[in-house]
Amino acid sequence: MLTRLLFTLCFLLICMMMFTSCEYDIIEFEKVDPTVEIKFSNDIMPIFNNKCNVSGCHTVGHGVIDLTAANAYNQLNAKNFIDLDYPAESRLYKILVNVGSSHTGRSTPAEQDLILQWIKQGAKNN
Amino acid sequence: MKRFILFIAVFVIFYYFSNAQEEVKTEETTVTDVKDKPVKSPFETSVLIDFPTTVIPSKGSFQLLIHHRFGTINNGISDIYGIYAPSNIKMTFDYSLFDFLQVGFSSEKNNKIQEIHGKLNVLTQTRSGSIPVSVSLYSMAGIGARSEDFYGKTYKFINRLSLFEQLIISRKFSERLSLLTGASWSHYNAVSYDKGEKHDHVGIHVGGRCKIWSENSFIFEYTYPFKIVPSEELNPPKPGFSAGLEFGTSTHGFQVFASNYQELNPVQNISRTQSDFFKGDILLGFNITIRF
Repeated sequence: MLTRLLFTLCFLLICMMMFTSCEYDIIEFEKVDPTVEIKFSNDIMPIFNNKCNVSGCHTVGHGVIDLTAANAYNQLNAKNFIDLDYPAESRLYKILVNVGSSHTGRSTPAEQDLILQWIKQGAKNN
Repeated sequence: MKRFILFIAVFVIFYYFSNAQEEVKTEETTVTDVKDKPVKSPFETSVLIDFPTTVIPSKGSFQLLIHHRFGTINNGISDIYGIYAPSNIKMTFDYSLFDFLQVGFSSEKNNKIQEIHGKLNVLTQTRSGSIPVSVSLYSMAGIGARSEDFYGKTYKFINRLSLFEQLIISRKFSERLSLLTGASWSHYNAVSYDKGEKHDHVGIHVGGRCKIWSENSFIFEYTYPFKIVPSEELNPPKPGFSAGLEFGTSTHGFQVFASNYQELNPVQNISRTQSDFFKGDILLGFNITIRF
C-alpha cells in the first residue's frame, strides 16, 4: 500500500509538471495572395498527383472520384465537389479540412488554402 | 463399558471441537482472502472503446492493442459503409510495471501522433466491498510527427505537444454490469485561431459493459466536451458516442463498434470532433487486444 501511495504521489507530480509546462502558442499559416491567379494545371494538379491519385486511391476505377490528370477536372464538376457560390462549403475543401473526415491530415494547410483560393477564383480549368 | 462410553464421548467432543476450529480457521482465511482480493475483470481490457478503463493487467504483462477505425458509413454501399474508405489505425504497446501501474507507447496514422502514456490504479475495488470503487489516473503526452508545414510560420518543436489527463472511477456492480465515469483535461500547445480551435477542453466521460452471454458483452461510451474558458468558439467540439460488442478470451479482447470518433487520439477526439453520432456521422471500428 505504501508503494502504491508513493507511486501515486510521483504520478501526480508528473501530471502537475506537465500541467505547468503547457504553452499557449498560436499557429498562423502563410496565406495565398488572392490577387495571384491560381492555375489548375500548375498549382492544383501537383497536389492531386502527390497526395490523391496514388496507387489504390483516386485513380481510374478506384475511390469515389478519379483525380488523375486526364479526368480530375471533369470529375470534380460532375460529382459536385465544387461549390462556386460558397467555396468554403465545397466538398473538395471540406473533406480536407474538417476534423473527423476521412481525409484529415492528408494535406497541408497551405495546400488547403491554395485549393480554396482556386475555387474562389472560379475553379477554372487553366 | 463406562470407560468405553467415556472414550467415545471424549472422542466425539474432541472431534467436534477440532472440526469446529478448522471451520473457524477456514472462515477466517476466506474472509481475509476475499477482503484483500480485487474484483475479477471489471472490464475485459484496459480500453473500453476509445478511452481507458481502470483495468491494468497483472505485473509483468505485455499488451498489444490495435485500434482500427473505418471511414464514415454515409457513402453507403459504394465503399461498403466505410469499410473500403480511408481508415485510421493506432498501435499501442503497454507493459505493467506493477499490478497497479502500466506504461505504454502508441503510434497513430492520420495525424502521426506518437504517444507515451501511463495509468495508475490509486484504488482497486475489492470483492468484500471494503473498497467500493476502482480509481485510476491516466496521463498521456503526444508528439505530432507531421511535417513543419502543419505548425505554421512560427514553428517551434514544443508546438507539436498535446497532453491528456484523466481521472477514472469505475464499479463492478455485478458479474454482468460494470460502469465507469470520469473527467479529463485535454491540451494543445499550439492551435489555429483562424480555424476556431481552443487550447484546453474538459471532458466528462460515462461508459459501461453489460455481459450478454459468457464473455460477450455490450459496451458503450459517451464523452461530453466543455471549454475551460467560456468564450465564443467557431466550431465547438461535438460529444462522442460509441457502442458495440466485446468478445473476450483469457489472452485476447476483441471489440467491434460504431462511433462518431474518426481520430484515435483522445485530445483530438475531445477538442476537434465535428461529427454527430445522432445525425448519422457514424464510423465502424474495432479494437484487438493481445496479452502476452
